[in-house]
Amino acid sequence: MTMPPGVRKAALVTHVGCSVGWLGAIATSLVVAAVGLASADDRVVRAAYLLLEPIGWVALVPLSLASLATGLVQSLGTSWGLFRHYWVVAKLVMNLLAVGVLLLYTQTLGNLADLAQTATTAELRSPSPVVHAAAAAALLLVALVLSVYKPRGLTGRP
Amino acid sequence: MTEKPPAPTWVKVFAIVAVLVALVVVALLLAGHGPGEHFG
Repeated sequence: MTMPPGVRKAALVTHVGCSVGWLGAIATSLVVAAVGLASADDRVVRAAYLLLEPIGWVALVPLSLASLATGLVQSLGTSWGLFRHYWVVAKLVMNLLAVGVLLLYTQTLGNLADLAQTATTAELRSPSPVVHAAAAAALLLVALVLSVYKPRGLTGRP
Repeated sequence: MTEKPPAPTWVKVFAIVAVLVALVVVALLLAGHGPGEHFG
């Protein structure tokens, strides 16, 4: 079922807004995680690891789920389809992967926030949030390139 | 019966990169860099 043009435009704006917002939240996480890893100030290190958890729950998780949901609406409600074009399938797989890893990683962010209140700075510092945020940013940038260039290729599915 | 069209080159490159990344992740997990690494 294809959406009428006005609804399709509104759905596209919502999808782009959620996805770009997600990318922005990832960039914020990357900066905060890098500050936590590199800062010489003990208070700043603790603040960074305390902050990563709410960024995850308040920004990353809702925006990632909204991006996934609006992407499904956008593909199923237009002639692009969900499994018709390779670039749409690639974006779907990357989005599902990113959302899955993020939901699992919220537990680690919670553990780090707990540690920030008790552990020493040396115990607290971890490259893990930087690695995860950088990987997520790379994944979303690839998805962004696919969305704009829409490389050719039909899967053969209706 | 219609024949399935061949996958474009970019899809094959994507698939190879995805498999390599998956292997690196599996290797890291097997080396003990998985969840809970810093939490005793």
